[in-house]
Amino acid sequence: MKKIVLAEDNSTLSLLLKFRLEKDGYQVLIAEDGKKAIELIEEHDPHLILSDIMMPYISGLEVISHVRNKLKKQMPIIVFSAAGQEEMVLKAFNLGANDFMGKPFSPNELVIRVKRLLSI
Amino acid sequence: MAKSEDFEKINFSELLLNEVNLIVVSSDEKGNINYVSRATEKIIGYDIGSLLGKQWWEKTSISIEEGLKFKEKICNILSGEIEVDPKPYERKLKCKDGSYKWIEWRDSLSENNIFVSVGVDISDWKKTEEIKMQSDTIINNVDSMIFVSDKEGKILFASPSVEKMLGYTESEILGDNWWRITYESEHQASKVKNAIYNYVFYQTKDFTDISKRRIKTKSGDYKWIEWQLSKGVNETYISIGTDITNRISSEIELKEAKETAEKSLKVKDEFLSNMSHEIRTPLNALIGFTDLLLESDLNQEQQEHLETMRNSGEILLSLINNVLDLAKLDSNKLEVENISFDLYKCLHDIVKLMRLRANEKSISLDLKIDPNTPKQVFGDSTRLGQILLNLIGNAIKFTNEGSVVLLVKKVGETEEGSNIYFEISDTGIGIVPNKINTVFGVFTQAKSDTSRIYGGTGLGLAIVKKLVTLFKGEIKVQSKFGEGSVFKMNLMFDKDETKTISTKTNVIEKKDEHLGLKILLVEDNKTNQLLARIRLERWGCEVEIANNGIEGVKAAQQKSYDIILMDIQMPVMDGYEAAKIIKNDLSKQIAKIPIIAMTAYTAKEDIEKAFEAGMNDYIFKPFDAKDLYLLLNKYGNLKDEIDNKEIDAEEPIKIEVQQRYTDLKFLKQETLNESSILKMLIELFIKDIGEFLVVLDNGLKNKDWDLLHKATHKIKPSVSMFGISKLEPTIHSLMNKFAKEKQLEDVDDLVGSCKEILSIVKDELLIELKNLGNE
Repeated sequence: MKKIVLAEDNSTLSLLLKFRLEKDGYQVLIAEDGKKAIELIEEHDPHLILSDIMMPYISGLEVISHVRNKLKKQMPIIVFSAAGQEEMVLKAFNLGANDFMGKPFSPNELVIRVKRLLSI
Repeated sequence: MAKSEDFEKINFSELLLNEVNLIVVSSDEKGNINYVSRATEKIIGYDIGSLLGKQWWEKTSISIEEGLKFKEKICNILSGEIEVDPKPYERKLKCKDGSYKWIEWRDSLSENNIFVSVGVDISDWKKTEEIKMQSDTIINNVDSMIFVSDKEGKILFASPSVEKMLGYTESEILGDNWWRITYESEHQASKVKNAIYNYVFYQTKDFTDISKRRIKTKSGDYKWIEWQLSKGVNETYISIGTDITNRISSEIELKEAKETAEKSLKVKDEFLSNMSHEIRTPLNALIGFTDLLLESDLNQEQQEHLETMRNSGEILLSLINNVLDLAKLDSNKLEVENISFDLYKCLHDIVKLMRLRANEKSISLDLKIDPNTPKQVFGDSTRLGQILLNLIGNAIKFTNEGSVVLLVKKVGETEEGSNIYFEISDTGIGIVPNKINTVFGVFTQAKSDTSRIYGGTGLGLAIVKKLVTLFKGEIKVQSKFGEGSVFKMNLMFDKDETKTISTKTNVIEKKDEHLGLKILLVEDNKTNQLLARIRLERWGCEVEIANNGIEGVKAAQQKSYDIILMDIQMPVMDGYEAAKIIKNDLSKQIAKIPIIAMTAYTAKEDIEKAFEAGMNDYIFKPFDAKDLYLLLNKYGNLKDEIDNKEIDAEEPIKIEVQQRYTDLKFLKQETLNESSILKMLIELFIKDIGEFLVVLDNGLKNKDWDLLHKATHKIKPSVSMFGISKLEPTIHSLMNKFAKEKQLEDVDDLVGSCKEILSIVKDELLIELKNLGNE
């Protein structure tokens, strides 16, 4: 079973996404902030990372940078952005994010993007 | 000495032979038996003394020829013509009880030329061998596939039927090949292996279906195989597979047929509902304009023509209603009303309406009401009218000369109600005796050519019968062919002691009373716009017209109206949507304008939808001028009441119920309607709301804009997920203000309205949780 770490501070959104992804056979580990996300990534070495850009303590950008530069891991990363965060999305891509989704997004679309990235 | 030693030797051998279960016979050169061992008696039952000499052959051979053949062989051996064959052979012996025993024989020739044959009883072994052969034949000939596999699932044995059924040869499937060939993936194969292992050896079942499977044959088609599994010997298991492809495909066909049937039934319902809408709309204009014309100055002839026109319109309308009613009756959707009405007036109205038709055919139509009949009763006057119109209409249709009589009287009374008897008799063609039992069926007219001469849909009596049943009444028919028919019906009506005259009569008398209301008419059909405008203006109303929902909403927001008449089906934005927006308007002045739905959809769900959208009442198209007047009068007066009493206890509550802040459509869809996950989401969000409200307070107190920005950002996705569209702009602008720390002057107001909405949201969600818990 492929593992996904999901970093998102909105608990309802993360629960909904966890539910949907698990329906499609993924194991989803939820982190409510960037710090927890990094702990989970180091502990479980997931196949894919989903991360909100703006999070308490450690932002999504810092998570990407940690994964790519410190851990030297190349698993796909999808970031979530809110309106008005276009610059941050560009930074995220520069740091090594593979895809982004603007909030609000359709969970269905997310599942499809995840599948696509994991099947390459 | 030597002799006695010999003798002892012989004695010893004799002893041995007696103990051992061997048949030993010896023979002289003529084939006569001169020794038979004792054990022989135990095996074949004959006393050994009775077997000596020729008797051996006579008694133990299965046939004379067979005995002679062996006797001859012995003679030939003893005479030296042929050599003795030391190889064992099998020969049956006949026992004393008539049964046979299989004996394996070994012949030998002693040095002193004595022929000795030793036989062992092999009957038991022979029997097992036969059984084995039996089962081999069975295995080779059955249609089912038989496999024997070891604990790991490796196939050890496969019956020849496997090749017949699937096309794979034994060597192609033995061992692990079976799993590789017939499964798409190794993962799937090992899952099934495990499930079988657990089932056979531990009697535990998991979710993997091992009872049947679709298997690809060598030729590439698929076959459905049903499996029976059982434990075999030595840690093996046996699987028996039967081809159930035919059964499965017929099951699939059945399922498909069922789905198609259900679908076409739904299509039929939708078609009926749409057709009724499509026909009602133009009919509305036809009847309405005829009415308007009838009110103008006309000469006698014009008046009559228009009345005929109106009558035809009414008949067409009742036909549509009949078809719809039958459909509703069939699906048990029709409901019975129970309101007080004037029975006498109802009967007179019906007879008056039908008398027009009777006059056309120059027959008389009489109404006889027994004086004991109660005047005011509770019941469904519309449906009673429908029953009587059908019965009288039929009577007139099938009568060419003479009369039709409607007789009404009370025949029984209980505390609650009266049993009223209706009799419709005619002097018409009557019904042939063999058809009298089928007249209440659908599409049956007494004779198949009846419809050619008399017309009609053949639905009338079927509807009557169903309606009468719905009223828990009874209807019977008596008829003499050529002389006429009598329909006898009993219906129960609840008593109504009040002697009030129904409001309807009042209104008709005050038909042209001035209403003087400001009315917004939202309607896309130009003809109906014109009709309604003229009608309303005659009542002294000021009418403004909007062509669709959007125009309607705009108009309602710009000007104040007393009443909004709202069509349901309109392009761009339909009536439900428009009503929702108007009823949700922030201005209480606008939200409280009564909205009356004008709908050609008569289904209960459509009306419920209108109420859900916040509409106050409804009227069906084509509408009766009187009914519309009644509604306008009611809601026009209501307006004054609301104006006078600003604090109305009921009104605000009603509006609150209608205005839902949350819309769980998205979440229900995304959670694939699994209420458990939806419940968790709602619970989480309620918790988040609580936290958010605390953060809002603290943040504002400390002017901690960063904290506030993060909190609004965090809650924002939930706001859109829970469909709280009212809150979205507020949250969005708050988030921007907090992020930029600019234009903070109206933050307090925004936070205030935000808190207000969230507290209602919380209540709504708690109700939702309760409902989910009840499911």
